Amino acid sequence: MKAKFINPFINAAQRLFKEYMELDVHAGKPYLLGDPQNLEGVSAIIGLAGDTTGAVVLTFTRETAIAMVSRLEGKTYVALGAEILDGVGEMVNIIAGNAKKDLLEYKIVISLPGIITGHDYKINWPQGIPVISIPYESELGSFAINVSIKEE
Amino acid sequence: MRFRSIQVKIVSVLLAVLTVGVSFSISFSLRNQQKNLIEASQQTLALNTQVLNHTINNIMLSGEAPLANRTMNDLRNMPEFLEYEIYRRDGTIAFSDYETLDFVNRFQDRFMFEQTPRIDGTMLEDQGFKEVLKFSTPYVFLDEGAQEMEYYFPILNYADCRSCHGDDHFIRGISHFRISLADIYAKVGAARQTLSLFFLVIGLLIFAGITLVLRRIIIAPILGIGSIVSRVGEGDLEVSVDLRQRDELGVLAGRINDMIRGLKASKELELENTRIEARLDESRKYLDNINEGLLLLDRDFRITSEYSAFLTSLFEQKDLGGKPFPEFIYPDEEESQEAREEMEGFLRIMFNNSTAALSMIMDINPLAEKEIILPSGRKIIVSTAFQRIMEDGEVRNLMVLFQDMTGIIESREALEAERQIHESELEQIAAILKLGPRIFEEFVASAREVFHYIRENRENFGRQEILNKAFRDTHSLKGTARYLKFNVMEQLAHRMESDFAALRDNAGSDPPLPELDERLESLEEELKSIDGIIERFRQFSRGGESEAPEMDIFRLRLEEMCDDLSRELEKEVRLDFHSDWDRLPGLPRVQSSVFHLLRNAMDHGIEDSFERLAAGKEETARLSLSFRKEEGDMMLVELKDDGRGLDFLALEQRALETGLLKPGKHFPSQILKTLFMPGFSSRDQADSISGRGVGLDAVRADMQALGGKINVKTAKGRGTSFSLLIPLASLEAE
Repeated sequence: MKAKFINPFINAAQRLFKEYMELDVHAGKPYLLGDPQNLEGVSAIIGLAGDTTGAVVLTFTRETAIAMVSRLEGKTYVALGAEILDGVGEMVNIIAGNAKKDLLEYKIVISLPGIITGHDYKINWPQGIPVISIPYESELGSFAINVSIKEE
Repeated sequence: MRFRSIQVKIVSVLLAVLTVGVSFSISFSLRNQQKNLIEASQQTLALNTQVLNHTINNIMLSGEAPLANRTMNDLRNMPEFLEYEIYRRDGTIAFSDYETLDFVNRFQDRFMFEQTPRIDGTMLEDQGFKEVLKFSTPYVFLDEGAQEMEYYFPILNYADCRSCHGDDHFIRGISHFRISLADIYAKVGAARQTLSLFFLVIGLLIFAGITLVLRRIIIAPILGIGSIVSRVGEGDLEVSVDLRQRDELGVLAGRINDMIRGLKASKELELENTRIEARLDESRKYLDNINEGLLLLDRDFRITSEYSAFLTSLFEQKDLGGKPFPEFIYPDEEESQEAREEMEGFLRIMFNNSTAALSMIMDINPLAEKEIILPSGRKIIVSTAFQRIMEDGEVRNLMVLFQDMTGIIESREALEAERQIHESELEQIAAILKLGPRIFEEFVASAREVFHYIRENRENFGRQEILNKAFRDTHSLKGTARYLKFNVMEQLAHRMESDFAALRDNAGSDPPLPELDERLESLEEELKSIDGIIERFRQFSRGGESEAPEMDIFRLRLEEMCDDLSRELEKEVRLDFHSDWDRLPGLPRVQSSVFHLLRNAMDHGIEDSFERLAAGKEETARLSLSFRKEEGDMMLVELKDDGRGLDFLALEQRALETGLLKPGKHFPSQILKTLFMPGFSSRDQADSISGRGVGLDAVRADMQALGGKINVKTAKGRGTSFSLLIPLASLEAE
């Protein structure tokens, strides 16, 4: 799981938050995700295919998602409705788009992000491939970027 | 057609009608009145005359003839009685009959009647007289011209009369009255005047009344409408007809007002149109004159007709209107299919994505700074900005602004080159200040040696070993230059190295001597400049030399290299150093190998932080370098890493690719050997850190020269260790 595959997403996410939402985000220490946790909030899944397969999943807590989309659109949302999911979709779309540029040379294709939400869902990571989770903190709440990539 | 005012027409008609009506009325009624009056008078007269007749008759009968006469005279004196005469039937006036007089006088024995003068019977000619004689009935004759009426009454010989007059005749005589009707006529005339006046006044009143009413109801409104319409004709559209009648005219007024409003609206539209056209003209002028490329895209991603003239000259394309934008930017369909699709995707986001901020989307602007090849072959660099034009909350158009950055970019690049030179000089200065000039002096010395060698052997590059040495030395030089931050030197050395590599790979071909000479020259130039700087700083060097400056420097270099590589490769590395000696013997001979091994370990041996995390390793990699004394007067140099270990499969693959191994099965030792062969890394994978194909073959060569051995231990996923076993004797030798 090379940095060169992961960094584009991290950089794109950083850029999105810092430059376009004026939001400082601080990455914590990456760690290996043991058993897939039961997740809550909003998750955006970007699939990777090609010479390398896997997934990059951004998981936001409910409050963080609401706060971020509110800041993004300049409105005040209070509930996790369709607008929030759309907004998260937009954000991750941009992140994926930006990351794509850096991944072109590695012949990796990324999918359109899928957004899921719920109270108790699990992501089925590909078998036998470790999942690295990078936790982030920001003034609008916490989120995580989870990566599981396998090289062919 | 003569224009006759409707007023005049109506008035004339009224006047005519009234005049005729009035006249008829007057004459009719007058006539009637006259007739009636005359008739009435006639009747009265007839009655009167009859009465008179009877009276006279009775008087006569009573024998009082003179009384009768006197009565007659009195009557004659009345003004109306123009003539009153009684005639005998032979036409002579009565009582002028002497015979009778005499007879009567005699008969009466009195002288009753005087003899009146006789008029001869002219009356016999009279029409009326004749009539009466004939028919024995009264006869009336109206003489209008003379305004007279004549009555002829027969006096019948009644029984009573006979007693005096005899009975031999039937009609005794005729009373003749001639009455003047002048009075009546005068009265009638007066009445006529009054009546006329009366009717005239009535007529006038009616006329006035009708005229007024007509004026009020019809004429004035019509004229009013007429004047409003003429005002509209002149262009004044602010007027309206004020008519509140509830009739056809009122409706007409309403319709006219509607029409005026309609005219007003269409006039305003016209004005608006003119204004819009004027604005269009202005914008056209603007577009034609600005010095920037500007165009507008519609929702189909086509260029509209609104684009600036500058654009056509910048892109050397004409008639852009209607052209799809991706085609315009990438005219070559075959080559640019993907680019076109990317552009379309971007445009789609620009048009449809309404939530993301523009700055975010701009990050994926494929044309932020784009090199475009024009039809003429010229290359320009344009910077584009996109702006959405909204309407009713939707993106209606996209405005694209092109700026020709070619000149700017070129200046920028020139500036950058300048900057780099300056920076390298600064770096050199900084490095010297930090490390002291000694290192640099050494570098300069060894560089000179290398150049010397190459110069000496420039004819002999056909020989493989000379070529290889030259290659290795240049590579080494490059590495050291890089470490010392002599970037320019590094680049020059890199190019020289490429040449040697090319030569080596095309074994047998003639070395391109002129180019080699050129390269050598530039290298020597650069070296001279470095030397010059060092000279200048010689005075500033910190005098205090340590006991083992070499060792210090060596360790410093190791740290620096570690730090630099760590930063560059984004890998956290910790270097543990151990040495059994205070001063390493033969350090100069061995240090380049150490550096190669270190570089190699950091570049290829150690994984990035994510990989390490995935493998469950600590983020910071551990490198341990040790110099130990070994039995038999040997020095053991060992570099251990806890990286990913050697991947024999990948190594084998690479060796096959570069032709260092023939296809077939191979032992690990065979594969390992290829690591140390020149040309191990293929040219494509060269990066300036580990260089191409050098590193480990240089190490092998150095070991060979020193009589040392190389040992490699590796465990997949756990790490690799390179050991150099060198006899001390060769290290300590001069």
